[in-house]
Amino acid sequence: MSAAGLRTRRSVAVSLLIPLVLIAATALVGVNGTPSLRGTVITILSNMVIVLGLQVFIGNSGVYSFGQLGFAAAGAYVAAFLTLPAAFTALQVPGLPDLIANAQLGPLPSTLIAAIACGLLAAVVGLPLMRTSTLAVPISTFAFLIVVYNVLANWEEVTGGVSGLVSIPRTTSIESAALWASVAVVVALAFKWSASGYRLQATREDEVAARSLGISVNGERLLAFALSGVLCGVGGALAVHQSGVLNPATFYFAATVTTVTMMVLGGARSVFGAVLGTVALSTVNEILRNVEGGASVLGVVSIGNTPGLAAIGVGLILLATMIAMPDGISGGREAGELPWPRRLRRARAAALPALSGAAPTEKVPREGELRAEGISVAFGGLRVLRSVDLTLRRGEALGLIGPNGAGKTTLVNVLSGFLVPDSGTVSLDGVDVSGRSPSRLARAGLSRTFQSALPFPHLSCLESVAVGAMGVGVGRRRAVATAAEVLDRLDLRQLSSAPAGSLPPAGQRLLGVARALATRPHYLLLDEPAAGLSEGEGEQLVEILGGVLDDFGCGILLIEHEMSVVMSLCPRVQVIDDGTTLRVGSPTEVQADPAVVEAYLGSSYPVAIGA
Amino acid sequence: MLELRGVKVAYGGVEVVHRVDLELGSGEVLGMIGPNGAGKSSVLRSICGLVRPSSGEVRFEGRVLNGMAPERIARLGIALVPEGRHVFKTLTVAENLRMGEMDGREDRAAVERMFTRFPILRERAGEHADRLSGGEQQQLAIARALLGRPKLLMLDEPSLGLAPKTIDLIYELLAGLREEGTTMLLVEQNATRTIDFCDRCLVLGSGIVRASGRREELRDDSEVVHAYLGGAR
Repeated sequence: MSAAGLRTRRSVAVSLLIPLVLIAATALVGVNGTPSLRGTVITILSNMVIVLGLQVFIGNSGVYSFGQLGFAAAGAYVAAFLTLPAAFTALQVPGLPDLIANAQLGPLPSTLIAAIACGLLAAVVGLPLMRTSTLAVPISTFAFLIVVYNVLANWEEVTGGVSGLVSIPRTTSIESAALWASVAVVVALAFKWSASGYRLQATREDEVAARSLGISVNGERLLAFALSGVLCGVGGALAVHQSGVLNPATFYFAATVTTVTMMVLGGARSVFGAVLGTVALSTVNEILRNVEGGASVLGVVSIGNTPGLAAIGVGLILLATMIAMPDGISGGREAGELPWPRRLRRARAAALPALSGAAPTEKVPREGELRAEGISVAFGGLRVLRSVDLTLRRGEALGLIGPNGAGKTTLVNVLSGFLVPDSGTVSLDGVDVSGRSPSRLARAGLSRTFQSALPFPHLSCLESVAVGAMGVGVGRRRAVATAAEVLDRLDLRQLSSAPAGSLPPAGQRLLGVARALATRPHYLLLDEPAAGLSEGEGEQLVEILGGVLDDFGCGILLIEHEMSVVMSLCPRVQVIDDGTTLRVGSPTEVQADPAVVEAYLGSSYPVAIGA
Repeated sequence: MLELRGVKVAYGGVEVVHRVDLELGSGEVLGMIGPNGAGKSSVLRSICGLVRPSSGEVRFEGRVLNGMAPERIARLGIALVPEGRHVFKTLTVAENLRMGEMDGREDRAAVERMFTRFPILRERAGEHADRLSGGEQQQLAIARALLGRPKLLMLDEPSLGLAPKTIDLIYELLAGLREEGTTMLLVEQNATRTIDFCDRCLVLGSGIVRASGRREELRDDSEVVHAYLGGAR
C-alpha cells in the first residue's frame, strides 16, 4: 500500500502493524490456553471481523446501521448449509435445495461463498435503503434485521426454525480466525484510504459540501454497505464454525448491541479503534462473566453469585467512555496518527511527502458561459427571485452584490443545482442543465463554496482538498498532486496536515475555495469568501483570486459584501435587490448609481470601505 | 467589572491564546481587533465559559469564572452575541425573543421595548427566524441577548456577512446602546470602524496583546494599525 502523498510510509506502516500485532497477541493468548479459552479467543476474532465490517460502513459514512448483523446471520447460515454433512442436512432442513444440501465444502470455500452471497445481499438490500435519509437509515436497517430474524425463525423447512441447526463442523481454528481478522484489517484500511473511502468520509463530514464536489452520496454509501456485508458474512461464517450450533437469535439484538458497542468504544472512525474496542470489551466481558459466577478479588473481598453483572458492567463502560472519550479510545485516529513519543511525531511532520507543485495546470478553454434565464423562486408566499437573468463567461469575474435577503445565495443555489427554480432555465456551455443534481453539475465543471464554509473537520486540509478532485472522479494519486498545487496557490501549504476543523472560520472559508478549485471547475461560484477576513487578508484574497482567473481560466461569480474585494476583482458587477436585477455595470457605474447607494451601499459608503 | 489575568487558551494541546490581560470597567466599550487566528474569538469563549482557560484567571465583578458552566456565567449577566448570529431558525422572531428572557417569566414590557428599539422585529414577529435576512437576524440576536438584561454585552463580529448599509444600521443601534451606558466588548475585523466606535481597543496578534490604547492613541499609531492591516495569517 502506498502512501500516495496523504500520509507518510511510516504512518501507513504503523497504522497497519499495530492492529495486526494486537490480533497476533490475542491469538497467542488462546493458542496455549484451555479449550474454553481457545473458544473465547476465536469468538473475539470472529467478532472483530464483524466489527470491522461495521466500521467500514458506519465509521466512514457516519450513518448508523443496525442491520449489519443480519448479514452475519446470512453468512452463518450459508456457511452452515454448505458444510453440514448431507445426513444432518436432510434431517434438520429437508426443504433445502439439493444442490446446497449435497454440497460438503471445506471451511475456506464455504466462507468465501458466504462472503460473496452477503455482499450481493447487502447490495440488493442497500439499493433502496441507501436512498433513504441519513436519519432513516438506522430505522430501515433495523427493520431489515427484524425481517431477517423472522424469516430465519419461521421458514422451518429451510432454516430449521427457532431451534436452529446443530452438528455444524467446528473447523475455525485460532490461526484461521486470526488470518481472517488480519485480512479484514487490511481491507478496511485499504478502503478507508481509497478514493472511494475518502469520498464516503467527505459525506460523513458534510453531506451538502460533498455533493457540491460531485460526490454521489447514495452511490458511495451503497458500495461501503456491500463491502460491510462481505465482512459481516465472513464473521458470521467464522463464528458458526466455531460454535457448531446456530439459531436465529445468535445474530440478533444482543449481538448487534455488543458489536456496535465495540466499534463505538474503540472509536468508530478508526480501523484501529474497531480492533481495540473488540479486544477491550471482550476482555472486560470475560472477566465480569467469571466474577458473575462468584469470585474473590485478591483473595480478600469475595463476591457472591451476581447474575447480570457483565451486562451492567458493559453498559457502564460504554456510558463512561461516551462521557470521557466521545471519540472512543482511539480518538477516531489510526495507530499511525496517534501522538506517539515525540521522536516519531517529528519524523512524521518532517517526512510529509514533498509534493511538487508541478501538477498539470490544465487551462480551461475560454469559450463558453454559464447562463441563467428568467429564474423565479418562491418560498411559500415569499417571492425570493423574480425573473432574474445572469451570464458568467469563462475567464471572467462577475460580482454579485445586494442587500441581505435580496436573493443572492438563492440564485447560487439554483445555479449549482441545490434548488430547483419555479421557472427559468440554467444552461452550461449551451447545454440545458436545469434540474440536474449538484454532484452531476460539479462533474460537468461547476463548483461552489458556502457562506458557512462547511468544512470536513476530521480530514486534514490536504485530504479535504484532495477529496474535491476525487469527487469528480480523479484517482487518488493525481488528486493529491492537484490538492498540493491548489494549497500552494492559495498560500495554505503550511496547513496541509492540520485538521480542517482546527482552522478559524475565515481560514475554513478559504479552504472551501481550495476544495472547490480542486474539482478543476470551469465556473466557480464563491459565496462571501472574504467574510471575516481582515482588510490585509482581503487584499491577499483579491490577489489569489486574480491569479486563479489567469492560471485556471475559469469564470468566477463572487458574492461579497466587502466592497474593496468586489470592486478590485470584478470588471462587471450585478446588483440584485428584492429578487430582481437592479443594475449591471462596471464598478464605477454601479457605485455611482443612486438606486444602488440607496438600496445597498448606504450614504456613508465611501467611508465604510476605508482608505 | 471584567478582568482577565494571564489567560491562556489551548485546544487539543495547541495553545492559541498565549497571554491576555484585559480590564473592562462599567459603562466602557472595549474593542478587540486582530488578524484571523489571532485568538479574539477564543478570548470571548474563555470569558463566557465555552472553553476553560488552560491557565490564568477570568474575574467578573470579583468572582472567578474559570471552570464555571456557560449557563451559570450567562446568569451572572454576561451575554454573547455569537459570530454567525445563531438565532433559533425554526422558531418565530417572538419565540426567539422569549428564549432570551433568562428568568423564564414572560415580560411583555421588555419585549415591547425591544420592538421599539428594533422596529423590524415587530414587523416580522410572527415569522420563522430563518426567513429573516442577515441584518434582521443580527438585530434579533442582539435583542435576544439584551432581553437577559446583561451587565456585559459581548459581540463577535456583528458586521460579518452584512451589506454596507446594514452594517451602518447595526452600528447606529450599537451606538444607541453605548450612549445608554451599556458595557460592551466588541470583536471585529474592520479595524477602522472598531477603533472609531470603541473607547479603547486591544490589538491581538498570534495569541498575545500586541498593542492597546484609547481611540486617539491608536488612530495616531499608524505603525500598529498598519501591522494589523497587513497582518496576514
